Amino acid sequence: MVYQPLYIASTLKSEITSTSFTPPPSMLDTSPSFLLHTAVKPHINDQTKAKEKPLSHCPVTIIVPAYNEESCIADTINSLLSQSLIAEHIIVIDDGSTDDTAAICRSLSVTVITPPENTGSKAGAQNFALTHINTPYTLAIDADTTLEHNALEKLYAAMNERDVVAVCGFVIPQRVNTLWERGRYVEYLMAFTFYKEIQSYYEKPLISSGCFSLFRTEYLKQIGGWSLRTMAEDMDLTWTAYQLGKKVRFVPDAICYPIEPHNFHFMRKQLKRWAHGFIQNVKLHRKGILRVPFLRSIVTVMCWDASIASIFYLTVIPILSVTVSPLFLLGYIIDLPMVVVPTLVKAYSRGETWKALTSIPAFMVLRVVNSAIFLEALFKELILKKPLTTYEKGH
Amino acid sequence: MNVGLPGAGIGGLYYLICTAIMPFKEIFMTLTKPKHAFRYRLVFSQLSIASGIILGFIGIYKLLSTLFKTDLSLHVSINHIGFLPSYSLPVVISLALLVFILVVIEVFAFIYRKKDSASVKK
Repeated sequence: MVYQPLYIASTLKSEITSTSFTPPPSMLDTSPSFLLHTAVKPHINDQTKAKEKPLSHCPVTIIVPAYNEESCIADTINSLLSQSLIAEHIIVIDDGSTDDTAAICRSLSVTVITPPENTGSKAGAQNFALTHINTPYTLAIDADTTLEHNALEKLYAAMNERDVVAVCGFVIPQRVNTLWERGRYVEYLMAFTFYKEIQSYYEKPLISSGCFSLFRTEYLKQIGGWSLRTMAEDMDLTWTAYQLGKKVRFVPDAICYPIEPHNFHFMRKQLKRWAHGFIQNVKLHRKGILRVPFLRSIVTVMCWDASIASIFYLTVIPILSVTVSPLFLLGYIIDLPMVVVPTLVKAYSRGETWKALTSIPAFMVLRVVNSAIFLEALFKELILKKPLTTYEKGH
Repeated sequence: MNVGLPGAGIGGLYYLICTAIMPFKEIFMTLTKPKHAFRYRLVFSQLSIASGIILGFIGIYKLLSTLFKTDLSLHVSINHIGFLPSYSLPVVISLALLVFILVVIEVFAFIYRKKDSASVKK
């Protein structure tokens, strides 16, 4: 589906079509530190965890932008309802769906709000919901993403400093069947186990993932919500936070499971959006990120690898392998330990070693496609001056 | 969200260096900040991964060299850096490139800060 771009959320009039969800009574003290000490208790075993644990509430509104998500929205809502920490509100933004998305959500007793017309993007739908939020914290989650039963609790506990405005978790694909899903599976295991942990250690996670992040509502409202000026609103939001002197946290134990693109058609759309989004953010924040130590380094190195290394990978290696020696083809696998080691470390801890091992070739394919799409995006954004402005869903 | 070539290029080297710095930063923070507790688990796990990656690189280099019965390092000017083992040349080149890029961005940041503070004074 193609979202039509850019409506101003504040001008839209709301239409609350169902409010059958009754917020639970609030606790006297719902601060993250209080809940960290009261709700997080040791348990006898994992299987009885959900049943034995006394449920606590937190002042969080969960917003779920949805457009034609009837196949997966029920899983998402059920996952939210079975969290160890109960959110005060769950709001689904039915962004003009033509299927049964809204009806399914209503049957699960969550609030459904409908903008007067399709907002044009996920950010647009989230901004529409922002006007309905009156809790101190907002959890943004994609309609195709399920959570570990304690994911919200873990994120919420990390909101323990005033300056922390966003907290994100570990992302693992829900389905790992096709070549593209397998490639993405390895990519996430590698990136979240090694890169993101280091970024987090230096207090600058590159992005608070759009598919699952907890925000301070005050901050969201202060910056005008999710920006529509780039195709990667999560990156924009994160980098803006750093420039304002705010902090973003990464909690590896808070795990979410989104559905990733299952074929080339959808993967291409997603990678294209990410590539254009990254370039647009670098253009937009180029001066601002120069003021942020570590962030400027990782963005610079990422720019280099995504552009120069991609050119090398896609042109220089094949040319040298033909004109000089076929041994240059080994350049495609020489960095294998960089991918394999962190991937297998995480996969082993999850009991998924074989799945990860057999998925590594798929990742090698995915990254070739990723680099080609990035170069195409670079050419369009910087040379042709044709920025991507239409939001297209990745599945 | 990863763009371009996740895993390849100087990015990997950059993160390895960041990992190598972690224990020293932790020691410094433990000594200078009274409430700071040394994050053994995090530092140890990341150092283990980084060590595994480096060992993996050495292993793959040895394996491929044996398999193809040739020295896979760049043949140019090996003898000019006599004190280094031949296989370290690609690493040295990558490291030099990384340092150059990081220095350039730091210079840009410095110039920008100067301009910024000058405009604030005006």
